[in-house]
Amino acid sequence: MHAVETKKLTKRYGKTYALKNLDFRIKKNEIMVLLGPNGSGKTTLLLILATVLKPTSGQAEVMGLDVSTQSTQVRKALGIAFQDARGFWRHKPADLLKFHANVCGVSKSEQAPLIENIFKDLELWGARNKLFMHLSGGQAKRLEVSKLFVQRPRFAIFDEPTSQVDLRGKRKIWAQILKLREEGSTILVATNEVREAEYLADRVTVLDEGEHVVCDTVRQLKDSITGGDIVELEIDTPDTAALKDSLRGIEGTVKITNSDSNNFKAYVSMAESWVPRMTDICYRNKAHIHSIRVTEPSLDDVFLHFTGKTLREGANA
Amino acid sequence: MSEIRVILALARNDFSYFFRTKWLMAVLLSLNLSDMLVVALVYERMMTFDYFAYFVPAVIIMGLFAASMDTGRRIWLALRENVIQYELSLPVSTQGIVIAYLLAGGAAALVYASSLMAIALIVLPANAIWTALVLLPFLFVLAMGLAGIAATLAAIASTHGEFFFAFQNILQVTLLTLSTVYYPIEIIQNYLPPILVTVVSANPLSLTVEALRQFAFVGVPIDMGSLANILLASLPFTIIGALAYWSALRKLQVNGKL
Amino acid sequence: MRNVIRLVWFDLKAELKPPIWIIAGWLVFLVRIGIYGAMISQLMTVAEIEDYSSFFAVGLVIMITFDMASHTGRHFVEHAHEGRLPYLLSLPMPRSKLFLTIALQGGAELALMLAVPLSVTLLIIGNLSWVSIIACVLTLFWLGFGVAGLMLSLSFIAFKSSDLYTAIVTGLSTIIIRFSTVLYPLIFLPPQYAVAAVFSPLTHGSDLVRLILGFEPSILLNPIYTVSVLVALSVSTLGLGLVLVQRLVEGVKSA
Repeated sequence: MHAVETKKLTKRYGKTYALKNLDFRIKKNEIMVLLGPNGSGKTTLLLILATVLKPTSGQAEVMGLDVSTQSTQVRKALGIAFQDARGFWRHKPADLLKFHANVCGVSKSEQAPLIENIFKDLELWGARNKLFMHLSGGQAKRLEVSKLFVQRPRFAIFDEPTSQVDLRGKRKIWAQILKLREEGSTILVATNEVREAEYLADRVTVLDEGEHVVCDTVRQLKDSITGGDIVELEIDTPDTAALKDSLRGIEGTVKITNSDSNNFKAYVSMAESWVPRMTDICYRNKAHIHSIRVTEPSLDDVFLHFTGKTLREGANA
Repeated sequence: MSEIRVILALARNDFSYFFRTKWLMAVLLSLNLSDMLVVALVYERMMTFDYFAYFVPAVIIMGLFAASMDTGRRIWLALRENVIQYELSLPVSTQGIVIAYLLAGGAAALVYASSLMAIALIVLPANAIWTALVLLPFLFVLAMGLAGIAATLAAIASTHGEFFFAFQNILQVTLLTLSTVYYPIEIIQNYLPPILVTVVSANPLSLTVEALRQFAFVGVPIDMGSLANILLASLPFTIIGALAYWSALRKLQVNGKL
Repeated sequence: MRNVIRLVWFDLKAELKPPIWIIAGWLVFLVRIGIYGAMISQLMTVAEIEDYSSFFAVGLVIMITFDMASHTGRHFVEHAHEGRLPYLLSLPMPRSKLFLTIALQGGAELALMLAVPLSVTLLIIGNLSWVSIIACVLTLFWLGFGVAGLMLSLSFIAFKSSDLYTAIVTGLSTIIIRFSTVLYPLIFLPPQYAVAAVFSPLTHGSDLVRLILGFEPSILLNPIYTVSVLVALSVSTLGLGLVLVQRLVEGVKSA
């Protein structure tokens, strides 16, 4: 049984589809990253799984429980950190976390040390007695995700968990998310930040305009782009043209260009298998390799490959 | 955690929120205390009628009323700031959220009114102080009914702040004006048409303030019929408010917005 | 000056979409004067006030003037709190003109809010000359500017804590109204309260307006005294507000 499963899930507002016949699965104890620009339906999907929104049609199950008919039980199994921090303005962070911990059934004996550790790790300890309305955007966001690190739900949903957070804070939040997975949680992260997706994902699902585009591991997605890896070479060779022809003949080569007699750029499908064959050819052609640089495609390239637009363009569409 | 515990936790959260809003406490206290200690005293000098003894108990009900109506503002704020989405994600039913807010609204208003009552009992010694304690549960039911009215308003007007505050203002002034909070029923009967006199008589504010005046301050023996009338007048508002708020939450879940 | 008018209209247009708060204010006035005023006046037995409902109507108009003037100060705080103030400060106009837009907008909103209540009050009182009507309107605006200046001067508290500002202003407002002659003449206030009431700008505003509208002079303050206080109030508070807007507002972060 999957931890989360949707079948032909649809959410419509008037004539506009936020989600259209979405089939989506998350395995138990995996980190699934939902990638897509603003307006792709990520938040809508998250809110339906969290039972905050009702679907128009189709089915969704969390931990085997139907989100429409067993919503209260579903909510006992999950926790959600919203895209915008949701706080009771006149409460303090410490009080907000204690409240959340109480409501979600964290035992009293565990609460204090857990909250203290999370606050200290996410650099909120100094702000624990400030009113929520006085927190900065980054602090409010860190508080928002802290709720789930204290709650440790079986299914954790993070909607853009590190937006407005600095790089150091991002790494700390990512570390906590990974720790949550190690403790047995299934995790869904929605983001349009490529670096975050690459860091966290076991698998990535790409959504565009409410529809499922592709789902696979990061490695597989990158490798599926023909000519996605770029190998830049600086080579001393007696015969540039002959070398170029030989390199073109290697399996997985899409294109070879050279800016001069020494500098080559090869567009290949899988650099890890192409480079050893390239070095073999250079050796046989008595070419001397000065440097090799390999660049992988990014998830932005993946998105472009599958949807025809970049994540940023998708956001502006 | 059981549903009841979560409801109580949510209610406690909202209850404490009421008392943390400094500017609101400042408004309510300055309004009610100045009404009790200034307006009532001055008006008494301008009337042959003992207006001080008449109005001081009413200030308790006015305080209860204003504090209950603040429930609407807190619901409106929760809807506007999307805090309600957080509450909808908690392990509690939608009905549970509604019950929590009404309980909190009633309890906060009762605590506030009790403090006014303590002050009132100092400035206007009552003939039957213990009766005042007996009336507290009925004040709580009234407060929940008023919170229900406020919740209805918040649910209807939550998309536009200006609508909410404008409607609340009109409603508050009308409910208070069409009651015996400020003036006796005999004066009202001389002036208003019979249908409005009936409205005044049935107004839960009138029923409660008269009970407070007669039973606690004057010392007339408690009449169970009057207490039953307070319940009968207040409970429908509680139910209507609960339904209105619940349907607003359902609408939010279906449409994503109100 | 064109920019001043543009900015006033720009902000006013937003406030008037929809004008529900103005209509609500009018309705509340009508309910209060039509029911509360009429009932309470039946309980009043003092010879000095022939008709308490018209006395009370004037009081309501003064309260509306006070509320709208306070709103001007709060509006300025909202500009800061919601991040609009830096934008306003970046506009190509002198600070004094910015201050003028605040004052003009407040005046326009006051005029709109007073339109129905003042007309109804003047109709209730009746038998008035154009001179007294104009004098009454001018007094109300003068009072409004004075109170607005006071609230603007206090608005800098909000830059430390908007919560504290709202608590002080709203708490102060209710006390200022009750410790004044808005609802009752000075002679009926207990001596200790009367001392405090004399310091309230609303006492001077209400007594002057009532004198202009023909109420019994023996229950009202000396008009020379009231005029002096109102002029001094508005000049000092508006002047202080202008200085604060020009000197202190830049670089201030709202709380």
